[in-house]
Amino acid sequence: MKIIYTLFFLLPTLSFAQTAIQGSLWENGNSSVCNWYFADDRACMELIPEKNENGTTAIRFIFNARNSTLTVVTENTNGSNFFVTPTDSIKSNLKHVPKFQQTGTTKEFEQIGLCTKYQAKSHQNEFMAFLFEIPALDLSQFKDFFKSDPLFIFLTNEKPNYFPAQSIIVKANGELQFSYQTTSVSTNFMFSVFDIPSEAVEIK
Amino acid sequence: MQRSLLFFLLVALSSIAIGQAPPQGINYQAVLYDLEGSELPGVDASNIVLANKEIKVRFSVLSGSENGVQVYQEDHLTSTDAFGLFALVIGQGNQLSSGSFDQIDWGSGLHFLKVEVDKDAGNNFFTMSNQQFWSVPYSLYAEYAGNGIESVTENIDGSVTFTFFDGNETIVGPFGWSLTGNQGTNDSLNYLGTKDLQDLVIKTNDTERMRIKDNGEIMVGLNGQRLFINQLGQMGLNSPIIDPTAALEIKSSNRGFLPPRMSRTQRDNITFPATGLVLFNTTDSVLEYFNGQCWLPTYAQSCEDCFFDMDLPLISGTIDRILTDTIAIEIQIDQASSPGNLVSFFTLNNLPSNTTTYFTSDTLSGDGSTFLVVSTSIFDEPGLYPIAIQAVCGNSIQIEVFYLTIDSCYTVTIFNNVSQYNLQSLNNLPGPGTPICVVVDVTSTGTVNSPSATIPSFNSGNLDNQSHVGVRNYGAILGHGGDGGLGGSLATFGNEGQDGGTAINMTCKTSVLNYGFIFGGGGGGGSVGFGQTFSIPVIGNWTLAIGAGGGGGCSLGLGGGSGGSVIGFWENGENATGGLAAIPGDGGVLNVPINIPLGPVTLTLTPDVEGGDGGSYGFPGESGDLTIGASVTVPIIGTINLPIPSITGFPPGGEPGFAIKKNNFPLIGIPTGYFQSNNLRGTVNN
Repeated sequence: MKIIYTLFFLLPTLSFAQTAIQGSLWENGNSSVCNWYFADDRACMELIPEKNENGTTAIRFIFNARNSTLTVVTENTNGSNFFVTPTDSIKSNLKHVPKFQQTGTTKEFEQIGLCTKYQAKSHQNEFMAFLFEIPALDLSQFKDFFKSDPLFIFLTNEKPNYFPAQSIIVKANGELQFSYQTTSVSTNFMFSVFDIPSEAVEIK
Repeated sequence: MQRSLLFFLLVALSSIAIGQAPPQGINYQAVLYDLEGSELPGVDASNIVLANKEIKVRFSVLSGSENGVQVYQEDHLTSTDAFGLFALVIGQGNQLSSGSFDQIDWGSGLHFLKVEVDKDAGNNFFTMSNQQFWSVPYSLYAEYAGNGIESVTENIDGSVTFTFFDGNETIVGPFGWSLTGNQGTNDSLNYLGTKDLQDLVIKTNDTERMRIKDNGEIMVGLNGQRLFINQLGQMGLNSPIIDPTAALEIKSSNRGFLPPRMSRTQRDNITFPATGLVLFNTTDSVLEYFNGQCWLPTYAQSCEDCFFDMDLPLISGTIDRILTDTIAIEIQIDQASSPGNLVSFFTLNNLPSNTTTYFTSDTLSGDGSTFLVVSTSIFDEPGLYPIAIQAVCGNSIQIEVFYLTIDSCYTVTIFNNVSQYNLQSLNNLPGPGTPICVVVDVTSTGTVNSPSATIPSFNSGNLDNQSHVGVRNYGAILGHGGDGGLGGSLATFGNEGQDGGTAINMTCKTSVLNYGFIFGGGGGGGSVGFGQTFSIPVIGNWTLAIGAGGGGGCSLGLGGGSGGSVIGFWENGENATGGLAAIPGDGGVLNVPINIPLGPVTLTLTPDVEGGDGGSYGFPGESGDLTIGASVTVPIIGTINLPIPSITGFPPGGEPGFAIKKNNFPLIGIPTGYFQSNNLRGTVNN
């Protein structure tokens, strides 16, 4: 509980230029740790698969808004790390982008307190998210990197200083398709998450 | 023997003492030489005088002739002096005849003196001379003349004039021509012949040998039938009647005219030969005449005319078609009489259609040799073939005939479909140690193929490597196609296509006439694949096995399979069809996207895999190609295309099979090289 209080205390003051958000991600039965790191014009999404059958321990997607570059760093259990900087632009998987609207309902999350609920609906899916505000966060500068999730498209365009405490995508038949949940937020993290390991081999 | 060693030289003639009662005798002096000579130390002394030697000399007076009747004979025992000289008086010796010397009737006719000597003073006489007495002895006749002879004068014409004391003269003689030569002759007075209208006849052995007719015609031989010279200077041999246009006419039914015979060198040594001089050139065996400029055969007219001799040192030969298909016929030209003219050569023959001829030099200037090279084909009919070789120079043509024998060969015919045909073993032909020639006819209904690309469709087999095989093909000799490449382990994932099979495999010298089809098998297509652990962003190290087999080559090459390995993504190559219109198999194709879910992200591989296609007849199999695209779909972000390391160096397809594999043996009829024609496809080489 001490931590909870601390978070409640910190929440109104999340105005630092750097923010670390730990969470988890579930999609189609696969779970991964999903950590986010923001520092000025840089961001990093770190996926740590729950299963690493191929030896992959972590994948970091490093976004540089200033240079509009994406670097993918793969770390493996055998220590052979790779990185790649795709030259092609990221392609969206969405045919339609549903528009999120605030439903007015709030929910108190244990970690981050009350959040505002937003919903959207498409022909095939229903989207629901609880957002919390991070004043120092500016997702708008990363809008070229988030193209397949209607929520992040909404955030980068309309709520750039909000971040989902929880996000759910449900199929039309009610089956859960995707979920994300923030587990903690901090302002202290190592900037090395934006770096490419020196031993990593670039794949061209 | 002793007689043959004596030589008697008369050095002094007799003389007669004339008087009222003249002494009966004739002085005789001579020097006696010994042909045997004397044995002197270190000296071969022959023909020296017989000095200081007692000898016996016998004189005989013969009447009428040298073999006439002996009318007187005496001998003398005397000695030679230091110079071999001895002197005697004929008529004063030891009388041996019944008649005495003074009884000789000198006036009755001719008398001869025969002188004989025995150098050992015995009675083994050697006749030294037998000569006629001439004028001097007849002075003895004066004893019997009624009026004494005052003097005797020998006249120029050989007569003798006796002058008597009463002044009368009597001329005796002349006594005729001396057989030992005459002096002081006068051709207006001294001659042989007649003054009246009579022939002059010369006889031997009492047989007429020559007659000079009163009209001047000369006839030699019995009845003048051998040589006849008429008043016009015409001469006839065996022909008393001479053609009026002939200077010399020779007639014979069993003998010929034999001109001087000499070598070319001897002929050329004649200095300034007369125009028209005729001789027989033994070097060139030709009757020649000198035309004022050069020696020509009698049938030639000008030094510019071309006359030559053509000779074939060998007039027959054989081509066995095993060890040799060729013979070189030497042609020698001799232009001795007209050197330097250009002689051209031609042949007239009825050789088989595939037999060819050529001259190493089809013209020749002057003397020398050229060769007619005759090359036969193993497919030609055996037999005896005369070849007329014609040499032409100007208007002169000579023809010689060479007789060529072409030996026969074994024959084998293939009517039906056969597989893996071994010529030697299937026909029980002789093996090593017995070189043969054999002709194989593949009819239009015959097909020769093989069950495998590693086995030639047609193989000469274990013939002696000096043998000669002829393949006359109207059918199809098809090499088996190579199989497409298989899959394999990760280390050797892609494999080369198999080489195409050989249509004809030579094990000895081979001739080919191809009116059908000789196709080497097509190479199998190479397989492709990607089978290794490699790095993919997001995924990291990842093992991928993907590939496709190569297509089979023509004919009947099998498409490549996975090769027994478990490969995640694989597509077999297709099999080739068979026959002349065979279609090679395509390599396997695999181009369906492959989605690989990896936790929250999905990796999508987009392969474009194509195994190498098999080759048509005579073509190599192709190598395959493989490209892979990769993308990763990430939640929230979207789809990111990822680079994949390029994959290159896929195994090649198989090489085309040999249409004809020579194996370093001579191949006749088809050049070395690579062919893609209607009848011949594939490589012809070692």
